[in-house]
Amino acid sequence: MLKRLDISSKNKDWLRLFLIVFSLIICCLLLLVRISGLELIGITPNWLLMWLVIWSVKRNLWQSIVAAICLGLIWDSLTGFFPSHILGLIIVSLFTSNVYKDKYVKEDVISLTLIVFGMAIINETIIALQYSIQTQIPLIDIWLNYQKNSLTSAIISSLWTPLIYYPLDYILKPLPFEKK
Amino acid sequence: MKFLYRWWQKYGNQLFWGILSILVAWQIYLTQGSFISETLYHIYPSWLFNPQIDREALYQQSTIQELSNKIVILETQNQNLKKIANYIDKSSNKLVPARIIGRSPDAWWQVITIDIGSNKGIKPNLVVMSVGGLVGRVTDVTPNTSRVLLISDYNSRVGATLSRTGYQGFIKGQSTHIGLMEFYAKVGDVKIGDVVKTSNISTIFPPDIPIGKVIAIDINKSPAPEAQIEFTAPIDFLDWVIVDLVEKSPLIDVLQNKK
Repeated sequence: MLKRLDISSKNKDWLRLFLIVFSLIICCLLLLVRISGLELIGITPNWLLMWLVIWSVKRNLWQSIVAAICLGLIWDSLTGFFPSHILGLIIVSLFTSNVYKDKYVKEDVISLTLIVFGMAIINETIIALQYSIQTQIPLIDIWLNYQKNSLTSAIISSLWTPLIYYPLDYILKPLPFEKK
Repeated sequence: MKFLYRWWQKYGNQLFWGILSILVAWQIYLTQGSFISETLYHIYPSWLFNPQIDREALYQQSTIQELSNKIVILETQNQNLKKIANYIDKSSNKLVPARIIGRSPDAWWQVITIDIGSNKGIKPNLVVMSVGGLVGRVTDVTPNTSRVLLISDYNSRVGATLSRTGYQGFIKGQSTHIGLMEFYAKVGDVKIGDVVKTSNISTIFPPDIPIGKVIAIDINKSPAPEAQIEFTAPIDFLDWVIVDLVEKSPLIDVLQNKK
């Protein structure tokens, strides 16, 4: 059996930082490419949203919000300034931060998949709301598109969550001394 | 003072990393993700082989063969007409083929990333075409990649004209392969199947690039009539596109800004 790389000790901070940044870059690249099987009617999983959910379920509110702003900025840089992803991701981070602290949700990959499903829908709702409030596009077009987009991205995102949950959870989980 | 020190010991580290990561993300936002698209450009061929890579050759053979026949006919016609109209010849178009390496990173946006950039003379607002007609325009450029906003995006507006009657309007994207054309004034004579091309008063797009066909009309729409346009370029299945390196002549822009 392979020896597990221990990245949780204090003197491996730089390795941890590198892995976090590296995982983010991988998520950004995955957003841009279409690999058959990783897409459903042309929609790819919201990799950055999964990253955020896995990060914030074990973090406190402020760490989650900072991560949400950063990811929102990066996602916007890949698309354009309107509609912004920052707002949706901040709301997602508000809902998911420290979700395992209350004993209602058990910590496992199934619950995380369900959280990602719900959060993908919330994220798409925020984008659809931005379109409806700030543009002149007919509402019926936006919300018909919304049905397709939200369901597809929620399904495909939650399907592929287990794939990145285990490596990301290992990289992103807070250190014991950070938890206090 | 002691309180501040204790606070700093407890949260200083988090504050530092939080501010640092926001600054880095802000920097990525300002550069429009050029770092990410450049990375994609450098690693793309090695791990995602495109099975339809021979498309370029295929286009050159079949489509171009077919079109060149038509061009010969049109050129002779055109030369005769030019003699009649004393037409001054403008520089001929320089077209560059480009491969698509990235798609929209989100369900709502309709953008693509192509594998040529400012190193090959690409600039923002250049026109991107494909077999069939107009595809979009370049919005951001990095040294080796550029991002193209497709005409099917919600944020896209293309000045268009009906080639048969000359009615002017603009086409809005709807996130599908069907766009919505709004006319500037009341129009009477619009038929299903009419061909739509870029307008000659557009500030970005050169005139006479085919866009699509009319598939449905709503003449009685209140401010101005609307038509649904099916794009002739295969927006959903693009592999290769062609970038027109000739910028729209600045003189025309100046004249239009004065109006």
